[in-house]
Amino acid sequence: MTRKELDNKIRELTETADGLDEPDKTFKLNEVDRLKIEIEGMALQELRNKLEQIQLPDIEEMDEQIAAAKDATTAHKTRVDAFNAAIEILTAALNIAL
Amino acid sequence: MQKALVWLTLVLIPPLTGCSTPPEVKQLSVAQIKYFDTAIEAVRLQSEALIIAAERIQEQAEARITETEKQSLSRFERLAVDTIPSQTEDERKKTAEQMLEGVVKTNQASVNARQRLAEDLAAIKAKTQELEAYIAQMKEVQVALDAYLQSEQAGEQWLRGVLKQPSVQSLLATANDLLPKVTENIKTVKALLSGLGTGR
Repeated sequence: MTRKELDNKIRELTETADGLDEPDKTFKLNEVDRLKIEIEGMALQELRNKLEQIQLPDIEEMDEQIAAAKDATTAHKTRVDAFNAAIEILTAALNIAL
Repeated sequence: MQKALVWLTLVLIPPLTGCSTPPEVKQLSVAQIKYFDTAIEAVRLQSEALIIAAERIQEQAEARITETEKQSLSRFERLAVDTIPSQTEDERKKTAEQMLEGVVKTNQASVNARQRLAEDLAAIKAKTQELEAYIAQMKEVQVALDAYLQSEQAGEQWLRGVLKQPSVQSLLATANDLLPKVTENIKTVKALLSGLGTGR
């Protein structure tokens, strides 16, 4: 039962209980108590449902993308280093040539 | 050979200067990492607050469950004292059985409700941890991006150095005159550029 259904049921049972004699009245009110306890058990349900609506990307997938980007950066750095090495020679040659 | 070197330099400098990441962007990238640190701390504190609130709600709900259980038991006690003695033996037996059933059911309802509260609280904690892990992972993404942006400095370092050299400045000054001649040796230049492009 949903929270609203339980509330309606409690109201209905309480009204019925008021018109009963003992011991039926006590037993009917005991049913009400059980429903009240059930409702208390739902105290965090709404908060949980709200949080579980949040859908996050797969962390493992993000890890893979980070690793791929790091590899590409390392490769890029290697190319820059190679470029710098080549250019040093070129600069030296240029200074001699001019 | 001399001409080829001059042309190569003139051809390489403009594209490299044009392609490098502006310093402001690199600074923003570094700042973004710090912004993520702030966001991580904010989410952590927010998560803590949320969990404190959830635990408080759980405690209050459990207290009300205990109270309802007590009320229920107290009603049964009154029933036993006020009503049962005036009943016939058959009625007493029936009432006693119903009372026992009521107590067992109430107890079970209480156990179930407490268990549900505990499960919901555990799910809330798990989700907040997931959120914290996610924002931390976003920072890692930024760190990876930043590593790439900052790695371009090596090339820029050289460019800054070489551009300050008097010989290069004079080369650039006469670039307009020289550039049309580059086409003459374009094959040589292309071969050199292609070698640098693969860079291995």
